[in-house]
Order: sequence, then structure tokens, then C-alpha cells
Amino acid sequence: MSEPGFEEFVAARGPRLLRVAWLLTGDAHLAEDLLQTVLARVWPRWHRLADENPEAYVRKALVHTHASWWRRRWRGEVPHQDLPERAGPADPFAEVDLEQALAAAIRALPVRQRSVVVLRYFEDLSVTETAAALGCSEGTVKSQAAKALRTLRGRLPGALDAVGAERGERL
Amino acid sequence: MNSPEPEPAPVSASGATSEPGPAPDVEPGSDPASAPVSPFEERELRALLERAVPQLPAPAQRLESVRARVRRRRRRRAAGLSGAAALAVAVAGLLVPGVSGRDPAPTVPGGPTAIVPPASGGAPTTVGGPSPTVDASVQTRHFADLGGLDLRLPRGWSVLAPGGSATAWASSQALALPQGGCANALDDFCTPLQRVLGSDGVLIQLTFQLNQAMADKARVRHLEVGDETVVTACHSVGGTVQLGTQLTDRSGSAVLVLATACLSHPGPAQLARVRDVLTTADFT
Repeated sequence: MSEPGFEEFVAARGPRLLRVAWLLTGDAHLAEDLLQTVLARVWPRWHRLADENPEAYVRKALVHTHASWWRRRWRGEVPHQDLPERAGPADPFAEVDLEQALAAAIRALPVRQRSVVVLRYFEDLSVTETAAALGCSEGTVKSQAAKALRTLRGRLPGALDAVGAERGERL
Repeated sequence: MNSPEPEPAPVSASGATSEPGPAPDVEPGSDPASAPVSPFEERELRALLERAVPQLPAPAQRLESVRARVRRRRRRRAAGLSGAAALAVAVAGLLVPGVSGRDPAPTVPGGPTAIVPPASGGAPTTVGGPSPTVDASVQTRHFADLGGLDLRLPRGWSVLAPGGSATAWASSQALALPQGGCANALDDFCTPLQRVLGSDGVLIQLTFQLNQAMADKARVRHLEVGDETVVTACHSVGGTVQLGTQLTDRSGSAVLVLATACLSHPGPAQLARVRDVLTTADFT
């Protein structure tokens, strides 16, 4: 059981795709489960995808698989007390607080808005590309993005402004 | 590009998706264009996501887990097809009188393929058939007593797997256990051949062990099929070349299968065939 290039793809793009999955699920364990589910579906057809744009395919599959989980109302367990395992930033408590706040805010978004946020603002797809990936109109993407941003502003008071200010200082 | 398998689009223009979020997807009277997102806000959101989304560690066994999921999916699919085919045959037998009676050798479509060792030196026979997607020149043989080892053997080879034994053999020639069995085999290499190896003949011995430390070590070393010194037992049946490797379960279990191949004046094609048999071994 081996497909040329598949392991290299997972090694190279896995971390980024896992972050996409985390944004969709808001939970590290669910994110890994979602990514593995999608990779298991992609693997058998890898020989057909390798010459195209496999990352776009996997990204789209992540969004759709997560949506299908959501429709089936399968939420799994959502642990809140587990600290994420990663290299420590300068202020680990602030970073963890921000991460948990973001996870909660993302989970509160309707699944469509969540998908738009992930594709449009984390994966930097254009409005057209996001609409194509989700199978909806560009107007829907724009309206969902606006609503999502309003919701995030309400649930992350100050976070967006702080990030904006931080970016301003760096620039 | 093909559409991903979990195809149903998560969103629809009607906003049918509902969930306990803070706001419905479509607010009555709202105008999508009335609340545009400013470039500044978009930049802030991108920066926030990039900063706050954690860099999650990848589990060491991710690919192995994916492989296991693929195997489970294939088994479920095969079981479903077999069940549906069996049901169809049963229904056909009920609806069309005499259907089953006209078939002199009914087989179960999609069922497992078994290699039956020849009883008197004849060519091995097969029961059942390979699925259409399987390479017709090989057939997979499952060794339940060897930790669930699956070997893709060239069609026409013989297999000897005494029930309950921790050792099994595969050969390009006919096999039969010697009188007294293989308990006291020379060099721990038994040669249950009906005749000595002919030119280009192959005998593979597979010995099952349950040893976590050895299995872990073999996994770490990524053992390949290598040349070995021809032992006396191999030489005594005409062997001129000996290959060996250790087969391990990728899931990290303690299963270890020692594979030793004895070959007589092998040509390049036969050598490649044996290496292929051993390198494509899998456990299910």
C-alpha cells in the first residue's frame, strides 16, 4: 500500500491542513480525526490527483466532510481543559487564552460562515475560489464573511483591534 | 478535478444549514451587500487566524492510521459487495428454478482466493477468483496463523500452511510436509518440497514470532530483502541463492515474520519476483 508522492505530500502539507481542520472543528483531536478521514479517502485516488492540485482537493474535502459530520449532528467530545502542545511563545497564557477564545468563537459560527472564514481568510482564497469550493454564489460568500466578522468581533472583544495594532507596530 | 467523495455541499443558497449558533445563516431583510468587509478588517482577521490557530504536532503514526482506515474501508466495501452478490445469487436461485442446479461449480463472487497445495505434484488449483482490480498474475494469500500476513504470490505457486503452525511455506514447486514434520529442521530451515528445486525454483519459509523488541528494531532499521549465506538445508535441495528479510506490521504490533527464500539458479525475473513478494507483504 503505497502511492508515490502521497507521503511527501502529507509530510509537507499536513501541518497546514491540520490547522485548517482545527479551524473547522475547534478541537485538536477532532481536527486530526477529520484530516485522517479525508486522507484515507484521498489516498486510493491519489494517482489521479497527484498531477492536478491535490491540496485544493483535500482542502475542499475537509470542508465538505466536516459539514457532513455537522449535518449528522456528530459532535464528539470537545475537551476544554487540554492545553495545546507546541513550542512556548513569549506569553504562553495570553496565547492560550487567545487560542481558546478563537476556538470558542469559531465553534459558535454557523458551519457555512465557518467554512467561508477558513477558506477566505486562513487559506487566502479569493471570493470566486471560495464560492467555487463551497458551491455557492460570490454574493453569499461576501455576506457570510461580513456576518462572520461581526460575530467574531462580538465574541473576541479587542482581539481583532489588538492584532491590528500589533501589525501596525511591526510595520 | 473530481469532486471529493464526501460530496454534499455544506451550504446551499437557501441557507438550510441550521445549528445552535448565535445567529441564523440568513437574516430576514438583510442585504448581503449592505455589510461589506473592509480591507482593514480582513487583514486583522487574517492576522488573528494566523496567530491564534495553533501549530499542532503531527502524530507519529498518522500515515499508519490512514493506511488502517483505507484497509477498513476496503474490507467494508468488499464485505458489502460480497453480501450483495450472495443475496443476488440467492434471490436468483429462488426466482429462477434450477439456476443453482445448472452451475457445476458455483463460486462466491468477490470471495477470498485460496491456493490449495497440490496433493500429488500437480499444478495448484485456485478456488474463487480475484477481483477485477487485482493483478491477474498474482493472488493474495492470507496467513491467519502468521499474524494476519498477506502475501501477493505469483499465480501457480503452492502454499503449505499447516493449521496451528507458526511456520508456513510458499514455493514455485509442489509442497508436502516430510515424514516426521519439520520439528527438527536443519538450520531452522525446513524444505517441505516434493522434489529438489529445479532451475529457477523458489522455496520461501515464513516463521512467525511475537517479539515486540525485535519487531520494533526491524521497523526502525527498515530492513530490505538482502542476500544471505546459503545454509546447508537450502543447499541440500539445490539452492544456490538465499534471500532474507523480516516482515513487520506497520501498526507497531509485536508481530514479526522471518522470511527466508531459497532459490536455485534464479534468473533476474525470478529474483525480482521474490523480492516483490517480500516487499509487498502486508498485515491485515
